[in-house]
Amino acid sequence: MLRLIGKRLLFSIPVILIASGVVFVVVHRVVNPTAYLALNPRSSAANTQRLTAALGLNKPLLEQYFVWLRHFFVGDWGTSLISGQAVARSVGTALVNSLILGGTALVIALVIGMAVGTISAYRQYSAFDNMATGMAFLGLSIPTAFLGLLLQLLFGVYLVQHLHLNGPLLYISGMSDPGSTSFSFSSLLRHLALPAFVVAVQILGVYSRYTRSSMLDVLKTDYIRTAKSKGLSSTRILFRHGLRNSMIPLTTQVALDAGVLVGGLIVTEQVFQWPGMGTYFITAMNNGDYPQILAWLMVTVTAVILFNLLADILYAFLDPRIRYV
Amino acid sequence: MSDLEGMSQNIRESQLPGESDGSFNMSAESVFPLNTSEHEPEFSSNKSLSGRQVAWRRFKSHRLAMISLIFLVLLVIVVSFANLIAPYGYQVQNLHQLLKGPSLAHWMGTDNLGRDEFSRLLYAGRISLLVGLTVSLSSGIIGTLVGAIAGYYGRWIDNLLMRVTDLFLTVPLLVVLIIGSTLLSGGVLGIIIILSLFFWMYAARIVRGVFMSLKEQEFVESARSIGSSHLRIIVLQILPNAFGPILVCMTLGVAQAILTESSLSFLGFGIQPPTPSWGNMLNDAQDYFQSAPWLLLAPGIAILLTVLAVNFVGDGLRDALDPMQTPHRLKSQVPEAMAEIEGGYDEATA
Repeated sequence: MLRLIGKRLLFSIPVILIASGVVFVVVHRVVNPTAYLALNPRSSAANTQRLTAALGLNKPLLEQYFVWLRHFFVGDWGTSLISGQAVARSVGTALVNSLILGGTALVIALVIGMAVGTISAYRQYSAFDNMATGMAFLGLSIPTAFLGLLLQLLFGVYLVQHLHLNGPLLYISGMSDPGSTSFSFSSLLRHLALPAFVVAVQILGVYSRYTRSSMLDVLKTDYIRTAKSKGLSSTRILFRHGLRNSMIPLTTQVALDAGVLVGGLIVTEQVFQWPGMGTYFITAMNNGDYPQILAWLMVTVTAVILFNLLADILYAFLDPRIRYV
Repeated sequence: MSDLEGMSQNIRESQLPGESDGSFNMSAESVFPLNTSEHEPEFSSNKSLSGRQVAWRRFKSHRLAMISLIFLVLLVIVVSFANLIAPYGYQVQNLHQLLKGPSLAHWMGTDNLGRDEFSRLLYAGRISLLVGLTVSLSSGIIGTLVGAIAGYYGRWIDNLLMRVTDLFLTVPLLVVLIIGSTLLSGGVLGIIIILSLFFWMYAARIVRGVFMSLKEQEFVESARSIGSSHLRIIVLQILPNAFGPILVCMTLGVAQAILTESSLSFLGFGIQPPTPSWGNMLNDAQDYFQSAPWLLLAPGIAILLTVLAVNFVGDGLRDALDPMQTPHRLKSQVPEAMAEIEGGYDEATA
């Protein structure tokens, strides 16, 4: 097991290096971070040149990349080309915000998904099961942006108008009240509810179907038959023997999803103006701000690799029948 | 025959006591597996139906899939003849009619430039469906190639190709597409190419599985013993067996490609204006949806219905093409398999 972990971690180093190199070259070729200066009629060409030199953008690409890499590995993640802010700090803030959103959505999706899946398996082909299937189809088919905008329309416009409210019940954009400096938990929750719901809808269907199918498999096994013949109650069988074992495939899926969530939920964050990793990436991408993009990439790729590894480890840990050699 | 079919369907459903009444009698399925044997009588009265006819019959009995198929065929026809049906061009601006609600002249209202929303929806449907179909087709071909080679030759080729497939599966899809699409300047062809490059992994895995399980079978052995070339065995002996799974996978791929294209265009990295796509229409609607909600509803519902219909057709195809399972049994498995296929995409498009 330890050897496997070591091998996987070693293998991931070249992957990270190659990914960062490719992204560096692509971003440099496509977006010019000083373009906004060239568009400004009050700024001269000499100004643009001076800025380009100051940012080190006039050096050969390879040199720029290695300068960045050397700094990165000693812990200096550089500053944003546009705002001059320290990248390590801004990416950290974005990461925390994304984790708040992604984590909440994951918990909602897990709780509801497992409950729905278990009931669906217990009452296979019942009206509830069929409805859950239909909802899963719907959840997998609705475009994220559309769902988000619909909710914004509902909570931001229609409910306010028809219930004659002073402000929306649930806020439709941002993470805190504009201008407020103090932290308020209730305000955070009211900002979080809608985007978290939109994200949860995307994964809920998958989780409930996973739970349902693995639960159906588990319910056919001998140990469940044994439990039944011992006269245990259905709830006890369902939750103690059934759910615990049927959670194994779901656990790995959740671990994989968590890795992806670290990178931010680009569309949802964009719709709800959530200042997380997705928004961070899109803004940096539009500005050609490569220190930001590369820092974002490093965090994301590392998270994906680590959570993939975690998924494999968890799988082997939870199911002793599985052995890695 | 259709009556007969309906009857046997009813019988099958009534044969599942304890499954729906919650009495926890899960032995019903394991002791009396609802397998092929039970399905035979349905068709045995007929002389002999080809596999395709049987599949078509089964597909027709899946009502939602059939309705969806009809809807999709109509949709393809309507958007193909968009230039004849649409009352206006997609670029024609009428500056006296900005952000007007639905009316007789403009069925779905007008946008902020006075363009007719209904006409734009039709032209955009052309692009979105074109992207969905071609991406699924080309990625299906790539995936089949990779999967066939990996599954047939095995050993180090298989190892290498599957590692590459895993790598492609782990990258966050939308991010790669955003970075890639900036390189390809937002043309329709560019979007199709970049999407195809990241949609082949599912087909590859499925085809590989079929090849792995079939390459040691007698009919392949006999083909080999009479001197058939590898290419001949791959294409003529094994590949036809993978047709069903590939078709289902590609159908679900259409839905995913349409959804992903819409997300990409919504973010501004997909199809670039003035060419309309359902995704960039959603993007346009974002700024005006308070005063002009029809701009949001039209493309949103169009995507939702199309993707839903495609998914239902995929569901029906899976029912129809899998000879090992009865439709009822399948009902329980389709969404799982679909979730498995789509599980990889869902965060990417979130």
